[in-house]
Amino acid sequence: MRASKGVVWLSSFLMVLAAFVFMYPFIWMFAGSFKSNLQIFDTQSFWPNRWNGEWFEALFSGKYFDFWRSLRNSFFISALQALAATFLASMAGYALGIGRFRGRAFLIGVAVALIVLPVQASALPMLEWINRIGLFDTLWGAVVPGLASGLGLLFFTRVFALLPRDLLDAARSEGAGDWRIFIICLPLVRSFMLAYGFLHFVLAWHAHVIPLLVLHSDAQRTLPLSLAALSGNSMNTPQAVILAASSFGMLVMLGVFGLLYSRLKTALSEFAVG
Amino acid sequence: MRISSVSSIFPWGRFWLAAPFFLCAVAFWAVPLGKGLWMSMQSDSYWGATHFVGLKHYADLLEDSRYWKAFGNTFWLATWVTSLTLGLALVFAAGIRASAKWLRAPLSFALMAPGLCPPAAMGILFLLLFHGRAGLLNQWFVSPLGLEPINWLSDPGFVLPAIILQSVWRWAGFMSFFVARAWDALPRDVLEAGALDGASAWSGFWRIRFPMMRPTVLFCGLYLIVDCVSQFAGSYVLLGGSGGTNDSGLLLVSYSYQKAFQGSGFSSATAVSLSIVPWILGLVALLSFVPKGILKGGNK
Repeated sequence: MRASKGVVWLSSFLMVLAAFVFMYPFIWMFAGSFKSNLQIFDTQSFWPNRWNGEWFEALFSGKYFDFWRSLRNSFFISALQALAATFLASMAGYALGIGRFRGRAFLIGVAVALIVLPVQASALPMLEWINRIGLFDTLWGAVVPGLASGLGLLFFTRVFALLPRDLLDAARSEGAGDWRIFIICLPLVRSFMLAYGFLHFVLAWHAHVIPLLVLHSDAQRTLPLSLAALSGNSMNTPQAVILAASSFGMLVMLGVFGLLYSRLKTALSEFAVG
Repeated sequence: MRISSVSSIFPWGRFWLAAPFFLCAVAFWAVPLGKGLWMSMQSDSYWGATHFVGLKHYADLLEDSRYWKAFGNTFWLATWVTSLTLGLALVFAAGIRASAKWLRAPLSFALMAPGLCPPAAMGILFLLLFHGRAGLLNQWFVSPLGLEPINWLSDPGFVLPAIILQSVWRWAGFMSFFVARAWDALPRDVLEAGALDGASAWSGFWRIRFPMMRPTVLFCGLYLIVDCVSQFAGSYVLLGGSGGTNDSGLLLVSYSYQKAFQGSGFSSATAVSLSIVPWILGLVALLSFVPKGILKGGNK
């Protein structure tokens, strides 16, 4: 099935159009980070009057809130949670993926339950619990609720189920135990771990409810929380600062995504049909 | 196969590998959930003593018209968002595959961007789009069609569509990336056999490709449903936790939030969040082929 030239041109054109519609708010967002409040809400004007980066400067110099600190908090929470969740899920995924044992179906049921009853549903008792174990208003308190990811467990269960049997049998006949085999398998599943780690990082970066409840003092706020607080502050807050911070965050995310793009692509293709 | 099938001795190695995950699941998921269940059976009070009231809060909800409004809104939100997003994701995946080769990576990049957008920025972006008179949707689509400008965020008929539109915009590109990957991985020989047997492109898609991509599509669908039911960001950025005019945009999450922080108290708020559990479990039981579909392959 080879598409004819006309089809290629037509769909290229339509897809570029769709991509433009999807990207349009972001182009506006970037342009908006150079505007005054008045001009931002004047939807008639698209490009800013002047291209000086005063809002970016105000943002980076911490005029409205401690930008670098919020960024560091966000990074600490998301990176640590993504890393830990990836390893926990891959270890458990190995255990569930490479063979059957009694109780396996139950554990997979637990993973499904973890997905359909996310921690946000019990956010208030979670807050009480975090407080009880002494993690209230600490970055760790925002890390721990996301450690056990049902999505991650199902993902890695399938990943390890897809590994060639011969390899596992060979390792086992050499007398290797499960821990050793797991470590031997790690290089083979590296791109899956990167793919999952990236997804978890993105979700953790944007998490709102749990950090909002757990992180109380200004110094512990994540970037999304700082921005939300800023936008709720008063009408005098320059919205451009929020847009500048968001543009900056988007650029970072897209940069990381770009670096991982081909790895994500292979990992997910292998995952989908194996 | 012989060795990796059910083994007679207890697999201690695997037990210890799985233990940390499930320990975390118990500590930071099961415990709060259990506490929530207990909390939802206590009387409402922000401070001071509470007493056990059993299922009273749940019984109250059954007669609470606002609850059913929120329930209905959430149901329609999940239904529309899931079907529109998955449909659009399939179209995008097909479109990207049919586009010029050098365009494919930038296209999936651009389409995925909304999924990477911070929620705080979405609030401002959507005021731009949905703004009463001067919003872009009105300027670009509604007015050119000769219709009256729609007041998206206060006209009761259009609040929910605005939330739906926003969710679809956010996830369609993201999901199309997953669908496109599943599409890439379809085995060639099966498709060629189908083509030889005279399957048209259209029936080849629905009869051969789509069924093979079903695990991925179901996975995405499940994710979207859960996102609609439990995520706050969507309605929060548009309506700030309120229900909108006549509660036309009231969702279960925002109703629970209102009960917790603006009204009754934590206990009945938790009851609202937990009241969806039986529905979701029922849905999963209905789709019980989902985990099987996701996990099939290997380990026979």
